[in-house]
Amino acid sequence: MSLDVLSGFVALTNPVTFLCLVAGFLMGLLFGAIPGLTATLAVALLLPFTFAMQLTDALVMVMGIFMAGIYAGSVTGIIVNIPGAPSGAITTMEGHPLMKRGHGAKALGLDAFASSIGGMLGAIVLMFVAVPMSQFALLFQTPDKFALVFMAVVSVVIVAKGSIWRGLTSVTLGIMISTVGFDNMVAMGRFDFGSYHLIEGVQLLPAVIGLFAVCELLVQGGPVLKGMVIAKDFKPKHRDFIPSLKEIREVGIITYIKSSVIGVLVGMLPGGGASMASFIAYAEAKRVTKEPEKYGNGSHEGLAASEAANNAMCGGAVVPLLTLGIPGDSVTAIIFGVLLIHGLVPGPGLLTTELHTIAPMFAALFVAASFVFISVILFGPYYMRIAQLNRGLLYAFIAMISMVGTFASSYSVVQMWMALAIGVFAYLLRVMSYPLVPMLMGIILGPYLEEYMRRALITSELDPLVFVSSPISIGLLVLTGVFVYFLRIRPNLARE
Amino acid sequence: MFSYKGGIFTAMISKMNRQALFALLLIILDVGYFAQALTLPRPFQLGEPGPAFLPILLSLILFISCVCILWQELAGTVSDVDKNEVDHSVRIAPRSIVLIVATALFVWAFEPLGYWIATFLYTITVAWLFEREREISLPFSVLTSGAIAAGVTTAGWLFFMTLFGLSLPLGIIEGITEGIF
Repeated sequence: MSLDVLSGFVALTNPVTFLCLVAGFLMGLLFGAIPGLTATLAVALLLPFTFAMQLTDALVMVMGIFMAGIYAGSVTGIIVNIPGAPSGAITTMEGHPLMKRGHGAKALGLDAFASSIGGMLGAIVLMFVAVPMSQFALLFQTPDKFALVFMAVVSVVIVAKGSIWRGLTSVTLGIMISTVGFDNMVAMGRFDFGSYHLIEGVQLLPAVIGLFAVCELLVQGGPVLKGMVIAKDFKPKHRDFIPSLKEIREVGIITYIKSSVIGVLVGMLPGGGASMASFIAYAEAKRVTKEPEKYGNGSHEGLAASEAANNAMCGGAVVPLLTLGIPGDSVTAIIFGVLLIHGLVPGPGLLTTELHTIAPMFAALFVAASFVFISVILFGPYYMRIAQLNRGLLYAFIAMISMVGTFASSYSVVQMWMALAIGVFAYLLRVMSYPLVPMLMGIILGPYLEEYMRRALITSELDPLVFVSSPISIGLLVLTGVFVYFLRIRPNLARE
Repeated sequence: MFSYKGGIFTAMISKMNRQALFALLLIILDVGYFAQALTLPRPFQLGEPGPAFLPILLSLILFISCVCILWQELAGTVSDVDKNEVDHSVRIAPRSIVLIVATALFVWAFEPLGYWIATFLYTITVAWLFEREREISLPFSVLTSGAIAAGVTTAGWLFFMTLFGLSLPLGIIEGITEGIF
């Protein structure tokens, strides 16, 4: 790590730059925690303002939004079972059961601690190995990328609670939804029934709103009051959000480090993203755990693995952007725009010539990660009040912000209909005990799965052996097999 | 496995439960998706998998998984572990159906009525449906729901319009104000 990288921390001592980081962080917390508003939206809204900002301030602010937005997706997920962002879906699966048992403060504390550790490790990795690691990512050919996405899809099915057939059905439905709309590779519409509204396909925001916000609203409208009243009489203090040494040991330092490394590696691959990072880390933690029965019912280990990975992804996602000029996800795609606005072209050579300009980004990511843990200690008791809110007020607000937020993202009523339709379908799936997270992952990963599969087959002249032609893809496919064996086959054999 | 006198299919029909019916519904939807996929150019026709390849593959996978669910339900071979994972607390309730109708009406009326009126009516409905859980009188629940709706609608306007400068439709309010001024 050169001195230029460390000089990024010096830049943060400028009060204006530091304030930009804090403002970005708070904005990310707000947008990440409110279902329907995402870190991507926050960064997108910031983009026009960056014209008038110093580049360093703009980059630092974006990093604050990125880190806080990815973390905050889990806050409402844990408290009201509605992840504010797709990346919080896995954490929700483990955190909300803890909340329902009255351990919300502990869940939020462990969640923030893991996010901080993951985020800081991700930032450190970014500082140390940005260039060498990006050269490794460059080795990934299309079949390798397909194998990676395939592994994520299989992981989603096997880690889902309950029947494997329901998990498979759910993920398949998600991928099917992702096939609606314009096919970029042959320039034609699919499943659009001649409607120009459908040719745009199903966007991620209405899908997330439908699957989680609308569906949760309908579930809460059912006869059973789920979880919301359990923590009513519990008034946590700030110190309740600090996890004990025993709880941290219970998760294990290896889990934190391994999940963070997974997060960074997945983040480095274009199309990786926080959701995939959290899934793979979660599946790996579940594979090696001594207490698999706790997974899905409030496992500290599962929660920490997922959260450490998705925040570590932030550091990884910046690597291909800066070194190859390839944005790994939607937020880094907008950061691409911020750099271009200020006359910097992301790609090979940027870190060589402009490291002093870019270095505050690395430092900001590290500092923002430490803010995550501080924020839960400061704001944790206020987060918990979300659960104690009047249900009429809470659900009226969620209903409004979800539907109006969907409209505001595209100025299209059609997207509101889309969110409602997906919400009602998701509600039926939940009534029938089908897991929803695989469906969301299907919607997110479907386009990548198809693109990499088709590209690989085209370049190999339709030779299916292309998928086992490189050591990386073979390694990833073998790892997929290992996941299936340890997470599904072995437990079934043990039961029999 | 099936000792029912009427034969295997009669026994299966007698075991038709809501899980089996839902799997059947998914199979019907899958057939529709498959039929649509067949209208796309044939896979490998142009030297590449084509737009229909994945959809056809997906419809086959969905068909197999739904048939497996259906078979498990009808043959009674669902494992105890899987049975325990079924969450019986989530059920279709009249209030959920009212919420679906209210949301649909909100989306339908959002542009013609405008943000203020549509959102106020929608949020007062949602708030009232949840306020009825509390042991309060009907007029008081309407009053508190009205206050909640007014607050939420105003907060939404301030949030989207004032704070982030996003544009929301004014609907008939715009027409009325244009008429006055």
